[in-house]
Amino acid sequence: MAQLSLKHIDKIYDNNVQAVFDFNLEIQDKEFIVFVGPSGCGKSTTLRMIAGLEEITAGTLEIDGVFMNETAPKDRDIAMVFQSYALYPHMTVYDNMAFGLKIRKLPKDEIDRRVREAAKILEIEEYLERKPKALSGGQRQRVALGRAIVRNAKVFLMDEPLSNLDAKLRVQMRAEIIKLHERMGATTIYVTHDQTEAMTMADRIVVMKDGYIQQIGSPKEIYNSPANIFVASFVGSPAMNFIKGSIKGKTFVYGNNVLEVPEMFYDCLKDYDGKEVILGVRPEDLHCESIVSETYPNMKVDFTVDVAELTGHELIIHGNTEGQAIVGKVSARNEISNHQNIKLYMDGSKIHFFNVETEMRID
Amino acid sequence: MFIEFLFDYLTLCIVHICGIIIWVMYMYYLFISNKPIDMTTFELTLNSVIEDEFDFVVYDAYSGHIETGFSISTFLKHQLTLINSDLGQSIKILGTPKLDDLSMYLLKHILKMNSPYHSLADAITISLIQNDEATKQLFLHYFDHVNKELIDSILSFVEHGSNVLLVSKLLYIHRNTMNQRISKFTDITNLDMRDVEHNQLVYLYRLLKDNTNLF
Repeated sequence: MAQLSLKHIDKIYDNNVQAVFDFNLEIQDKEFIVFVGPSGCGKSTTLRMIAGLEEITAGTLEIDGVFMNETAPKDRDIAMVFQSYALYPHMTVYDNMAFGLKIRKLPKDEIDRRVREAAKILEIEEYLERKPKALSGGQRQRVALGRAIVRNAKVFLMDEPLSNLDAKLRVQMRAEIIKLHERMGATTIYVTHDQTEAMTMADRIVVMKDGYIQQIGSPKEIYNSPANIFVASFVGSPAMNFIKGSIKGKTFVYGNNVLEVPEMFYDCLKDYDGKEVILGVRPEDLHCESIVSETYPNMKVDFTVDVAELTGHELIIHGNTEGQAIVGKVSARNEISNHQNIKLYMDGSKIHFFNVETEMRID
Repeated sequence: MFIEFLFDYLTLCIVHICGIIIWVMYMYYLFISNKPIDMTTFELTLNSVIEDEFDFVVYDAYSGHIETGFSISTFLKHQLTLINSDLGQSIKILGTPKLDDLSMYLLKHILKMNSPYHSLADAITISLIQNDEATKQLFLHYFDHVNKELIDSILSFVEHGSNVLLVSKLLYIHRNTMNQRISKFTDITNLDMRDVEHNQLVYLYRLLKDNTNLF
């Protein structure tokens, strides 16, 4: 398998539009990396540059220490899985899987061995003689994966492979891809705009926006220590709440509400006394329970409920505090109704502070 | 009825099958890559994935065209990414009804466009969005060889949802006359008005012609 090294990669199109800016990333052997970000953030462009389908304007791409910028896509030993089931409609499953190897002129025995081995891994042995139209969406996507597996490539690139599937099947295929990665151990780069896919599948996530890397980290790091407001708001559903206020001594003041800043933030906020900052708190870190109110009695938020949505075991409460809209996620055991005034308590160990101007995390 | 059907469907090049003269609508698929293409493997691959016969013409190491007597636009739209992945190349294709200056000009432009396959109408639209003056000028003269009455009838036809009955009423002509004009237009331009891509091309021409002052 393979290690990838991307150093100072830029992509500038002929019309001077820059799609990717100074992209730096070291990918370890067998790692599962997910590029995530909104449409147009440069994630697919980066993937296509790794595949060799787009020219690299500046910077270097190395696979296992070998300079790859000028190498033709076919010589990069990379297999790609695309959006939409991407199969030849008139060929059988077997022929679809074998086709890439046939045009590389591999011996028939070898092709047969690889196709049957991949079919076994993907549990599609009984469908080998069927044509794609006789398969379900999930089965077709497995065949598409099979086409990549038979290549025995060093690196797997997956460009939103589940985005055309319905929600239920997507969850199922997500698990299958994780299992497949564990079994094969291939270095994999997976592009998605779906933060749930990123969080559930990745060893490390690369969050991108407007062509720039915003943060690289494990799903836990990205969730618990977002580097800036964009990452904080992009990951998590419902998104993190942001409350604008200012630091006054050891307190955070917004409107008439005063919160006591937990001791762990004293050091990093010492330069912000009297200045505006943004406090970030995830909906699930707002609580009604007495255990939190007893631990953080001075982290009280007066909350006016606009709408309370019952999702089953949870209650999503939309409302505002001091005129700033926030969302809370509390246990459905709490009796909360629309237009009610309640008190919520922030878990002081889970709050974040961001610089108003740079929008970067303060720590 | 059968002959009428054939005439309705097929134009331009004549082939003889069992003594019946059939007009065949030719399509050209111009291809280009920014890296040299392994032409032998590319042709072999196309032979395996396109079930009918086609001509394969190479211009240089980077480009050429595929000539077919049938449309493979939908196929290419869906399968070109897959073909590129099997070939390990990044080939882009422009589907066009004729090998003219505009198509040859746009061939180089599609290299910079995102999708691997573009119809002529797609490529023109993207170029116009990019304010490409040469595309605008070439396209404004695209139907110069078609007489005014004929092109006006066809523009009305596309403007009114390609509805023969409706447009023949509006133009005070018999629907057969309108059908004949459409066939004549197809003869002259190699554009089949039932083909969405071709229809879009004429519609785009109408929009450009009516709004030239905006560009």
